[in-house]
Amino acid sequence: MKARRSRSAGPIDEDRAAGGEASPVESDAEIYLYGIVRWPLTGGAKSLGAGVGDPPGPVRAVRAGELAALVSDVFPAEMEAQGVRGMRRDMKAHSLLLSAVAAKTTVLPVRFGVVLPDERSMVERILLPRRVELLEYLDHLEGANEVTFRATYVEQQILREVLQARPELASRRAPTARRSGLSASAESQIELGRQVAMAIQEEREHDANELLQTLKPAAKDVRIGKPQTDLMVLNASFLVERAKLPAFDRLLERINASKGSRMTFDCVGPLPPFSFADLRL
Amino acid sequence: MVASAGAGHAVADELGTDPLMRRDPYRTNDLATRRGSPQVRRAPAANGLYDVLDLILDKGIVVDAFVRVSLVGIELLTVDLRVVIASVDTYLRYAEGVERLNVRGDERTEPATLPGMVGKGMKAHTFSKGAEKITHALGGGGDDDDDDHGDEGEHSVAGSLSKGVRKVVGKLLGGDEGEEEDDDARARRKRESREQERRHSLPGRERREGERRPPARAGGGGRR
Repeated sequence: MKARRSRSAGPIDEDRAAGGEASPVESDAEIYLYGIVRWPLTGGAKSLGAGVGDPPGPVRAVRAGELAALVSDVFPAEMEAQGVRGMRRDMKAHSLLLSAVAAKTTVLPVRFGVVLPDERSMVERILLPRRVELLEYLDHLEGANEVTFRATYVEQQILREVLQARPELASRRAPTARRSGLSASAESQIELGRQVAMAIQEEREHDANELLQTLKPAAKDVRIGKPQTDLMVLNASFLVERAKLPAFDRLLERINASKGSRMTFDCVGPLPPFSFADLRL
Repeated sequence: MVASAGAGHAVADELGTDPLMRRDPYRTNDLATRRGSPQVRRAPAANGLYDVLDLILDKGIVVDAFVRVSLVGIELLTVDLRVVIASVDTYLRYAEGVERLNVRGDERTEPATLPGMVGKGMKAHTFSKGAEKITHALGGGGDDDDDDHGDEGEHSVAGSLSKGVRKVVGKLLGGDEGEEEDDDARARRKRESREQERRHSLPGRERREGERRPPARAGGGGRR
């Protein structure tokens, strides 16, 4: 393995000391960034465990004032040479580490795959100049985690509802069905399907709004993503304070009770607040 | 974020354990008691990547000003590759599910269990299934016997999807690490020869500057 880059600067001594780890300086080691937390970190950085790589590097803190970046040494050349398996392993490590941190404290999670040349650039180019912004984000996320929520129509049910509500569509269906297999019917099939899709879209707007209004009271913030399938009603992430999780779950219960026959729900959390760390550095 | 032990096991029986996804006691209990319900789905947590893949790749702080965003090459993480990565989770769940079924040439004894256990994971899978079913429904199919039909469909769609994905894997992957998960090993052996030729056709790697090109590999599984 060729060394592609040698460290232009040694580690910043007091930061390394504060991080509590004395890892060897490799000529081609760079640092992989997981997230940013407030310092001091309860339990210190030593308890954070292992990070990406094989063997996994110990995670340590790079400090600057009241902020710290959670990092571990990596050898990018080595990591690049590995395939999907290594990628999966590293992705898992990334998310596991952040989940563990998020369980203890408020963390600004960083997107997978960010590698900095050295600790000095971490401090001088990120932690110091963006200090105010980072602290604002940490304040906003304080004590809260992300819960993702996806609602998807039960297909047969929504089709039935749409047909019931629009008898004109239902009446078009029968002759079409009987003529199935003929190319002449393809156009009318497409037209029927298009109208069904439009009807579903109307339903979706209404239902998505209702779901949002129901869940919002228990959440501090919300991000709405694109539906991932044609039948998805809502794809949203909620920022939920730990103390509010039971309340949030009760709302889920209520939603399930009232809408469970027409939608399925897929709810995951608490997770590190990835969707709410929408910051470019 | 600590699951209460009892409830955690109840859920784990079906979905596998995953420290990443452990719920609060409240929610874990809640879902454990209701896991038979088709409506509220506890996201597949075994191995954990599916649930967080989009989050860790698309969300979170981005550091792009000067930092070498390289590690594995974010640009490699195209939609296809994501399907590959997510599908490995699905394969692992299939493998797990198959092991649990204890099948001796009679896989029809518990037809509902396998899709119930593994079928929730993949977006692409759900999507294909949706597409297939909507075609079926709009094509004048009756509303009866949907459930049976749905199960059959899940099997076959998942099967063909897996095949498709394997092909994608064959096309995309240069990496052939010697790890020891059997389902992958099998697929890998099949596509090994194809990989030899395609190893250098990874999209994205081309785009990288020459200095970031990975060193020549020492052949399949030889790196460990």
